Amino acid sequence: MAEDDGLRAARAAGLTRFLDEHPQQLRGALKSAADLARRLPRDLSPVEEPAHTLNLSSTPEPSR
Amino acid sequence: MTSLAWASIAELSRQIAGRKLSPVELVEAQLARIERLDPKWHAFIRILPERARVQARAAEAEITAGRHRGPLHGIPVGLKDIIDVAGVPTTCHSKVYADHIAASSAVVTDKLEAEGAVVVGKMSTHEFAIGGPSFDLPWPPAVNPWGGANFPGGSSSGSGVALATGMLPATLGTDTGGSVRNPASMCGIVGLKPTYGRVSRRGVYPLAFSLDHVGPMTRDVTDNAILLQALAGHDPLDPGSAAVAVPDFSAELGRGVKGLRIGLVRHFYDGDETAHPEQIRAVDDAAEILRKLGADVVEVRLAPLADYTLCNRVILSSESFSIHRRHLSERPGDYGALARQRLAVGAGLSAADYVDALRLRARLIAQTNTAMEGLDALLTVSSMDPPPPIDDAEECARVYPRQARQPFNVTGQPAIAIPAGFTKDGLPLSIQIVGHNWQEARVYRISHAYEQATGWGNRRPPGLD
Repeated sequence: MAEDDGLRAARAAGLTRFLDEHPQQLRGALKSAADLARRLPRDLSPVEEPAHTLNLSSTPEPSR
Repeated sequence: MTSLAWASIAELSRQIAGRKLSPVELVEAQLARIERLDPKWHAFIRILPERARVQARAAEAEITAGRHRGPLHGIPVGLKDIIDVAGVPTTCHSKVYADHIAASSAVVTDKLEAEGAVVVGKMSTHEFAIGGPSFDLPWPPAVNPWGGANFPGGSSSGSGVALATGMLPATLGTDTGGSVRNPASMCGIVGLKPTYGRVSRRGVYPLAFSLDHVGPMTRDVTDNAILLQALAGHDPLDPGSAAVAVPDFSAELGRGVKGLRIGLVRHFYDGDETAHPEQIRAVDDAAEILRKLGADVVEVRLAPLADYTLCNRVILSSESFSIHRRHLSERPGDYGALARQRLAVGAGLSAADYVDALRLRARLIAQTNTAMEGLDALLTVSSMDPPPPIDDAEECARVYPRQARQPFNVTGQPAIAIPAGFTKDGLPLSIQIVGHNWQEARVYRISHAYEQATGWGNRRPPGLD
């Protein structure tokens, strides 16, 4: 997310007061978020589904 | 017997069961030590002396009447202050929650008390288990006795410090990106993140639902297994809790490592990151020791450490922002600076970013399972560095993310941090052992064999009697 988009998203999320009182911190947080998002893989295939971590009990026993 | 302050749960329990030690005497001794030491080390947010005395007297009466409940009966414990105790504030070490009184106890609190454990207090944490070490909160951060005044790791910092100073023999922490294993590594103690779903999180303030674990913290591996035994079990009211059988976690202790195959994940700490040279040597030496004990240790490659870290951070940031959005919008000034900035990261992530991270997670879990085929466990680093001075904010910020714990929050596997020696300056080093899902007993078996062979956990911080 570009910084302007991030600030718009933050306002939409209700962080107007946060932005007024701690603008540098919010900008720092948005910069970190943009860096994280930029590094996410771009090669995920459509069939790669989200991990269902709430269902670990179904994972198989180890092979040995 | 070892002095009460440094005795293990197993040893204290034998004395209590044999009526050579009274739970009241034990709790009074620990309370006196806490009163003497905690003003310097700040492990506690709140000490509960009267509640503890009532529980200790009840334990003594029961044991005198011939009803010994088990190894935790009469044993003092401390709970990270995001874990609820009915009628007691759960502050999360934050002004935001300073006046919040828990209506009921967490499942883990109830389980410990059902075993007769004595809850002595609530332990310092990083604010909401994410922002620390911080000096702008209503309570000071816990201080690591190793090195005089060092960073104790986090976020379960007070839980680690109470063990390292002999103020308590058992504590609980929570682990979302390594927060049980980090203080274990920094404080020279033992901390286990169980398999995701092994221990109920109901009544524990969440940081990130799909990554959160409650974990036992102790001074040795045997004690850790004892504590996990009391905590484990399915909770149908915790959506993440798994309906799996609870084995005897001590069953494999003492069986050694002969014939086990252990994968050494060396590229995490000498490739993807470059750990402190003495920490690199500690893990390499551990591999050699395990080989000499009869294990087959082979080098394996997982996905790059940065992939797991990225996955953990996007999921953690998104889920924690969802949890904190209301407070961040209404009263941002009540958070400390570190938590405020870290929790706001999620505001800049999109729904697609979050889903992509969950999809990356599935890929990483599959890759890790493939790499572990034919192996009993993994061996790698926990922290890349020994603990820095707590008043050196720049060094704490540099060291904090340099770790290899997040991969196993992403995969959900059980992972333990145990002592693995000391730097030439006397600061703790550690290793991490990781098992297959639900195989905590195997993790304990390997850790115990290494612990018995090295004795690293027996050393105490200088100046503490």
